[in-house]
Formats: sequence, structure tokens, C-alpha cells
Amino acid sequence: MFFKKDLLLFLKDWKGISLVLISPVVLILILGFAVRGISMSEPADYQVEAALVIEGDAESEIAAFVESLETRGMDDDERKALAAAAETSAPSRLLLAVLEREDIASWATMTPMDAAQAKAALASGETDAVLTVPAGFDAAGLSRMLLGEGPSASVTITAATRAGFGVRMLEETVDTFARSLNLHSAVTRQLAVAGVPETEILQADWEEVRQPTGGLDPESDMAPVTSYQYYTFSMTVLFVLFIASNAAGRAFREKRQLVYDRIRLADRSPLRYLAAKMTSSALFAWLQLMIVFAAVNAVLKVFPGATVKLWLGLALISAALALFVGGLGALLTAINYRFDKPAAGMLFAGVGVTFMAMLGGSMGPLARMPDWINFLSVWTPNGLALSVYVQWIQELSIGALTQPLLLLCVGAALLVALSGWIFPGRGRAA
Amino acid sequence: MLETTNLEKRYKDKTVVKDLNLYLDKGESVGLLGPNGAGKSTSISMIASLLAPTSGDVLLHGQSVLKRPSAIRQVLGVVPQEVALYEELSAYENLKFFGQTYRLSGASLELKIQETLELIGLRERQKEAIKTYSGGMKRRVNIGASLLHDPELIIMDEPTVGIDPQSRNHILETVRLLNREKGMTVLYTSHYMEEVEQLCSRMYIMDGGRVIASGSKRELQRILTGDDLMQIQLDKPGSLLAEELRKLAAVRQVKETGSGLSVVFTKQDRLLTEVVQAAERLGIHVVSVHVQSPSLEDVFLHLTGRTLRD
Repeated sequence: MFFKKDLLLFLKDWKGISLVLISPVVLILILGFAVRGISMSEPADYQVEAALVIEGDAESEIAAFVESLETRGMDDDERKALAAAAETSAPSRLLLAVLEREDIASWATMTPMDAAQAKAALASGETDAVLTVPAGFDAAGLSRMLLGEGPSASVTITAATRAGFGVRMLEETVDTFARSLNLHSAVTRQLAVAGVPETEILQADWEEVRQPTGGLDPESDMAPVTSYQYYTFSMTVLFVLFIASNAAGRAFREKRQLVYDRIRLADRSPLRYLAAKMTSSALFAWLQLMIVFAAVNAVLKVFPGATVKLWLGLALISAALALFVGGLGALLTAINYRFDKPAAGMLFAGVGVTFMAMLGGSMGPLARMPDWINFLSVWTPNGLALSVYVQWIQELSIGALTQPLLLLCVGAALLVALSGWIFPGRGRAA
Repeated sequence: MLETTNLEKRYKDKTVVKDLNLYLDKGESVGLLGPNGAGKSTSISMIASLLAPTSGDVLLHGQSVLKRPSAIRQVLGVVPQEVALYEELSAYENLKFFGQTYRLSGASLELKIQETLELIGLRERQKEAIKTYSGGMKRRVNIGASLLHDPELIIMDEPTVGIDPQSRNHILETVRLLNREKGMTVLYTSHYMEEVEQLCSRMYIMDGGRVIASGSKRELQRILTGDDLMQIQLDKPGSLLAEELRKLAAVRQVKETGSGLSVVFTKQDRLLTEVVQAAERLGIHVVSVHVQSPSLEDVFLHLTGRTLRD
């Protein structure tokens, strides 16, 4: 009943339709065309200059480790196998091998320095970060890897405060190395003891040490995101927010024109009315998202070779975002009713959406934004949804969706609860 | 059927309605008269359970409406002063939606919509958007939307404000039909005394948030029994003459009108002579004099010192 009425009103409101359906399509066409040919998943500048500080001596730490094997009372074959493995598996050497790889060296330049030089270079801005391999790193690493003893070995990265995307990639590379090292430790120990030649061990394990994966990985196996795809998502998730402010505005007109009083006189509870507003906003939001995606795909083929799975994923993400928009619509409606002014919806449409557009990546690709915007973007519904959509078309992995979608749904539930608390009941209406 | 007891509404330190005591018997048509700001709409909102009173109670068949608002909502139709409709939707779509809010559906809803459209005379134009209607047509739909659930009691808050004479007559006829032929109890508020005189058997006069008089037309007119009203047309402004007349013992009230003076006075033979003499002394020429029995409008003027439309 309420939904059908709201749908009729929505369909007769050409201004509202053009705002939520036509405007995003037009902007997608314009913005997508303006930056066509550029992969929106590649940051503009991810080159990083880093200082490499090696505080220990790999040779002497390996020798000390091999010497320590003599005192452990193991048989000769086992001792030889472990000593051979130690020669080839020193963690600092493995790390350097990874960093020298062509695919990483193409964006990360590592310059060996001592600690003082590195500190000065970081302060002066000559370098973006300092990667420090501490003394004892190899000794600890070998004990951990080959004997399963002692603490884990770790390196540190000190980044400049202005550090950009490149440093983040370096951090992720080292982090991935560390995780692979742990896996390598376990496998190496078992294979060495079983007598497998060390060259085969290395080949088998270190093929797995790759650059970090993630939505912004230019060298990953994931498909790059085109400008049309990026703006399809970024504009749609932005304009869908107007559905919330539209719903609040329309609800306030119902109050001002006493239509809401008629509804209450029919003995319909205020909370049911509010729930209807939430439901219709959510349904409109979902329809808006899917209609824009379908329309843009029909015209521009933004999702070439799209499968049913891809569309189902888009529908699922859209449903979570639509729930949030529904909750937002209910909250703005409740605030408008509580203060008997349409200011909340208008303020949100005017300032809130612009603010969210900036933070949520609708103004430009997040990959090219500073770290702090990337951090804040996931705390905006549009930014979070945008990153999930992008990740989905790149990976098609359901697992990656669970947490962000849950976050959107929890956000929606909180908004609904808050709006129910704020919405005036009988006798409290202004 | 319906009764209010010492109903009061205060906003901070401002009392909008005070000690409102009124009753409606089943099948009655009762008027609620008062100028703007008299507290009529606030009273209606409290009676309709839309606004909680500060104190007092509303009783429907002896049961408190405040404790159980759904009781009155099931039997009440309210026609608000404003056009409370969706302007973008047609009359049919509006009636269908409001009918559904009253849990009507299917064939019974369709039948009720067509009956209502027939009653308000808009069956032919039911598919047109409300925003394309004249003010009078909008008000007719506004009434129709309140009748879909066959209420026992209907409250009309100035349903004829700002509309053409044809629509006004149609609305008055509709109210008369609802009350006299369908037995609906009516509480009718208006600025227009003649509407209340035509439609209502009893009336309450409100001013400043209080009921200042109540009763049938005859009972109210008795307030001015023994008095007459003299309408004096003058050739120039009559403020000086008004001051002179206020000094006369028989004169109870003098009010300046556009063309002269309106004087309420205790019946006596010599007043006309005294008025003419006073005018001559002030160099004012009396163009005409008309003496009549007081109307309800005059009663209101007498009670409040101003007209209903002030």
C-alpha cells in the first residue's frame, strides 16, 4: 500500500527521476569518456624510493647457525641437509632476492645505506621509507625455519608521513614475504629432513612469494578496472544517496500537507509509517542501482562477458547498500519530523552528499587519493560500496564481500534503530 | 456520543485551549465558531486524538479516547482545513490509498470509491491529477477522503475557505445530506456564521481558547434580547459621533463600519431622535438608518468585540 503509493509518486516526479536515474548515467558517460583508456585501478604514481639498512651479517649468522648444529646431537645426514638448507635459505638473502625481482624493482628502488644515512634521507625527503633488516634476523630466521625454535624474525619499515601508495605496496610486499616465509619454514624443515635437494625446495616454495594481491595491484592477475566501470560505480553509489534525502523531503511534505495526520487517523502506527518509508527508500535504491548498471552496460558494455554470477553479486552488494540508504532515508525523515523542519534532508542532499562524494572516491579514483582519504572512504557508505563493487568485478570472490556487506547491514540496522528512537509518536508531534 | 471535559492545551506558558467542555449527541450537527486563533483547530486535533491535551479528557460513548485512541479513529472522519491530499495523484488514486489505510480492499474498496466520487460530484474527472483541479474540487476530494470508511462522526475544519460559490453550495449540500439522510454526527467549524446557521442545530462560540457561549441559534440570540441593532450610514467618518453615542444610557455597543456606525441599543423610542441631533451638532449628515433585530454575527460581535473574520 505505502510502497505502491510511493512508487506512483516517484514515477510522477520527473525531477526526482532525472536526479537519481538520468544524472548518474550522463555523468558516467562524460567522466568515463574524459579519462577513457586509463586503468582506474592503477595509481598514477606508485614509484617508491626506499633505503635498505642491513644491520647484521648474513655470512657470520649462517656460519654460527651451522656451527650450532654440531652440538645438537643429530645424525650426520640430517645435519648436512640442514646446513645446506641454511646456506640457501638465509631470510635476508631471500628478501633481497624478492626485492630485486624485475616486477618489483620496476617500482621500488632500494638503496643500501647505514642507519644514520637512512634516517637523514628520510628526514630530508630523499627517500620515502626505510626498510631495516636487524642484526640477528638471519640467525633467528634460520632457527625458526629449520629447527622450529625461537621467535619469528621480523624487519621494519619506517615511512615518511607524506608516504603515498608506493610505500603501502612495499609494506604489503614485505608482509606477503613474511607470511610466505612462515609457510616456507614449515615446508623446508620437513623436506630437508626427508632429504629433498635444497635447490628443489627453493624452487617449490619461493615461486609462491609474489607481490601482494589486492584491489589496487597493477601486476596482479585481476582484471584492470576501466574508467567507465569505475565511474559507473562511483556515480551510482553517490546518486543513490539522494534517494534518502528525496524520501525525507517527500515524507515532510506529507506532514506539512496533513496527509500524515490522515494516515494516523486511520490508526496506522507512526513506526509502521516510518518502516514503510525505510522499505520504499531501500527498494527504490536497489532498483536505481540495478537500472543504472543495466542501462550503462546496455549502452557501453561496461561489463563485457558478464555472467549470471557477476550480476547476482552486483545485486547482492546493491541490496546491502540499498538497506543502508533505506535506513538513512528513515533517519532523515525522523529528524525532519522531530524538528518539524525539512532541514535534515536538505542539508544532507546539499552538504552530506558532497562530503561523502569527496571521501568516498566519487570525485576520482581512490587509488590516486592520499592514504587518509583511502582510510576514511571505507567509513562512508558510498566509498565502502564502491570498493566492494570494484573488488567484485575484479575477483568475483564471495568471501571478499562478506565483511563489508555485513558492515553495511549493521550500519542500516543502527540507522533504523536511531530513527525509530527519534521519530515522534502520538502527542509528541510538533 | 462525544464529550470533552475541561480540555486544555498549553505550549510552555501559552494556553491555546482552556476548559473546553462540549458534547455532541448522535446524529447532531454542531457548529464551532470562532475567529482565527480562537483554538478551534487545536481543539479538533485533541478530539481526533492527534494531539495529546495538557489536561482534561475526550470521551466517546463514555470511554476515554486518550487511553484508547483507536476507538475514536475507527468511527471518526476528519476534514482538515488544508487540502490533505497527494497533488500529483488523481482523485481515484488518492481515494484508493486512503481507503486502503482504513483496511478497505478489493470490490468493497472499489464500490466505496465510486460511491464517494458520486457524492462529491467528481466521478467524471476521477482520473485527473488533483493539482489540475480548482480549489473547490480539491476541497470536495478532501471531504471524500474522510468518508471512505463510513464514519459515525465527521469533523469538518472550515471546509469552504477560499472556494467558489458553486463548490461551496455543493459542500454545504453534501454536509446536509450526510447529517440528515445518512445520520452522520457532524462537528462543523467555520468563519461563516450563515453556514453554521444553515447546517447546525447547536453551536459553540470560541474566543481566546475558551468557549464563551453555546446553545441553539435562538438561545444565543437571546443574549441580545431586548436589544436592537441600528445601522447608520453617514456622509463622513463617524468616530466623533461614535464617542457621543457611547455617552447615551441606551447604547450598549458602537462599532465603526466602512460607511458609518453599527449601534447595539436597548429598545426605546427616543434614540433615533438623539442620534440625528448629535450628528447635526457635529456637522455630520445621516444618509440612512436601518434598525433590525440582532443576528448571530451581532451576538458574536457583542461577546468578543470583533467580527468572526477579524
